[in-house]
Amino acid sequence: MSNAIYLALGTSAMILMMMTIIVFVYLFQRKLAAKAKAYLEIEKLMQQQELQSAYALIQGQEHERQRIAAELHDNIGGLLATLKIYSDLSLEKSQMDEVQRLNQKMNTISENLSQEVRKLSHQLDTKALSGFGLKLAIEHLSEAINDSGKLSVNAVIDVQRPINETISLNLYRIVQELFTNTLKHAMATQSRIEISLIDHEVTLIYEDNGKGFDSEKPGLTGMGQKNIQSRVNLLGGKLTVDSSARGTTYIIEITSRDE
Amino acid sequence: MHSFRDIVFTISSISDVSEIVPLTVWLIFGSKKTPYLQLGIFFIVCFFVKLYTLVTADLHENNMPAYHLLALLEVAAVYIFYCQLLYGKVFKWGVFLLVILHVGNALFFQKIWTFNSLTWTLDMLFIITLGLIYFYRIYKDEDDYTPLRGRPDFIITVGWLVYAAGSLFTYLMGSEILSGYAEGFFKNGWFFQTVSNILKDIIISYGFWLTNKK
Repeated sequence: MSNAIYLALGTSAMILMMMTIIVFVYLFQRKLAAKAKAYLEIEKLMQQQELQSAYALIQGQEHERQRIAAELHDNIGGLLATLKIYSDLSLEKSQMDEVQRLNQKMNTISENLSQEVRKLSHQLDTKALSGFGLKLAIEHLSEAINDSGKLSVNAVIDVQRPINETISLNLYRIVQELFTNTLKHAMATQSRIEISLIDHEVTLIYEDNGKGFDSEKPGLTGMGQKNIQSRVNLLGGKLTVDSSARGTTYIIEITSRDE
Repeated sequence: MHSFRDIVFTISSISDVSEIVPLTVWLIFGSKKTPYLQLGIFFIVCFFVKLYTLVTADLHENNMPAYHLLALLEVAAVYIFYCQLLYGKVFKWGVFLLVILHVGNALFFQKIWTFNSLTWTLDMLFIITLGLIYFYRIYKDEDDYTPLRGRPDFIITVGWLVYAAGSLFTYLMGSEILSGYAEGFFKNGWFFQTVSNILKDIIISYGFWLTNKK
């Protein structure tokens, strides 16, 4: 074989390998870019959802304020005005049985007034932020994820009484983290979230049908997983994770002491 | 004025001692954990074997048995490296098959005192296959999104692939090259092997340096 052929073959072999490496680098970078774009979309969705939740919360508070103002004006204000009329009449009357009749009326109105104030106070207490906030926020989050078309979410929130605000906030963050994990890594099509409050026990069950991960393998647990664990620890709860190639299930059990 | 033969001879000599670069980088900066430990040890052994071949060549002694040994050590080191990298364990039967192949070639095909171009060629094909399997695995891995510049394994693989591609043709034509007259030997394909070996050592040195930053 001539030197020229040796040279051509040797050079071609090296150029071919260089090209293979370059093509691989290009494909890999393209894959990274696509993943980064998907991450960005998910982050944006989560951020948008957080803003929407905050807005919904503010809107809820606003509605509640309006309702209290209307209640004070229409009901308690009306009763107070009637009380004032009877009081003025009582001061003008000189006949004893007339005064007594008016006093009787004022007594009844005072009792009604007292009942109305108690009722309003009770309603305010049960409609505290932590009570309707968590349910509403998680329902909104699930709805937004459903609307995004990336994941089908089924949310069942059975919380009849208000939950401690710290627990509510941490549970919401955990749920956000769980959704983020599913969207980013699990490649799942469906997920289900269930939150229940029985006696003092808050239970969160989250499932997805993604590819799962090896929960026993150290190093695989990323930042999201660590965040969930640290929030559960903070609340003094228990986290159980079961993952297989058919999906992942998280069970979080927390005792709510001061509702 | 230096002839092409002188240039190739100089590059060839540099190539023979260039293992000192990855060896030094590994000793000073490189990770001493699996799978880099085995690769680092290979470079130590390789350096001394090549030094021996250089000295014996200068003394005009037949040093072909050293090349038989070197071929086996190299392919086994690369095989062990990728086994640990891809599967976390070494399949011993693979090492056994490589030993059988090299010993069989030395006993029955290309005798111990001749150049083992056949096993070198197969080794290069095997290294290219391992490198491409590694590429495929990291491309398909949906859990690890570390950029390529932060992956010492990727850099090391590039080093091995460049070396194997550059050497494949040389070894493929090895018998013809070595059977030719001396002038022919230095004027043709051997040049690619020496250059790709130097490139490999430089690239793997960078890979070893990165292992500390991983």
